[in-house]
Amino acid sequence: MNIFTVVGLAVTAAILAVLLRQYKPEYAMLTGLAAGIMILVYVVVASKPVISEASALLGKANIKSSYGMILLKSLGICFVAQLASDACRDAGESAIASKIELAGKFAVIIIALPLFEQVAELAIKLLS
Amino acid sequence: MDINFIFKIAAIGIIVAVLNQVLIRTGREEQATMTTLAGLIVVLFMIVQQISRLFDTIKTVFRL
Repeated sequence: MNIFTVVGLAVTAAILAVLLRQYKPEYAMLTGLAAGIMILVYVVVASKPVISEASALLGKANIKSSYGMILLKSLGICFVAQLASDACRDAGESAIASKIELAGKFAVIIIALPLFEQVAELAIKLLS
Repeated sequence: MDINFIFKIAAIGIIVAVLNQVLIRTGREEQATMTTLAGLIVVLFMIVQQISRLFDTIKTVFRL
């Protein structure tokens, strides 16, 4: 992962977006969105070794792989929801942006529901 | 990661802005609107393809 690539791309896209904003504001928003997508793809592809290392560590610690999978999935959901809500906020639609964030939160909770159940079962076992 | 994609979008935006002003000056408002719309649709198609690429990458990396 080369940080200078990301920095150069981001600054270039920002300059182009500012240039376009005075003529056609919609293209400025699309330029920003494209830059965000490019950087996110780059980061996600570059973070593959980190994720495989983390799952290997989880495997060595004898933690069930389904727990790590839940964490990983919620991270992915957060990335996608954040991208969409930032794009909406840039376009001036903060109401839609906060709804997307709400949807992301619920998606994460739904993915983590089995864990809640297990915690509750453990608590009941300890109490009885 | 290719910066050419962002350059493409910016170039389309500049061309559409110039065309828009020329067409409005020559008194063809409808064609100016259509040009803006066509440019917007082209850029949206490009962006949608990239979004689907991003979603595929996230799906494979985070095993969603």
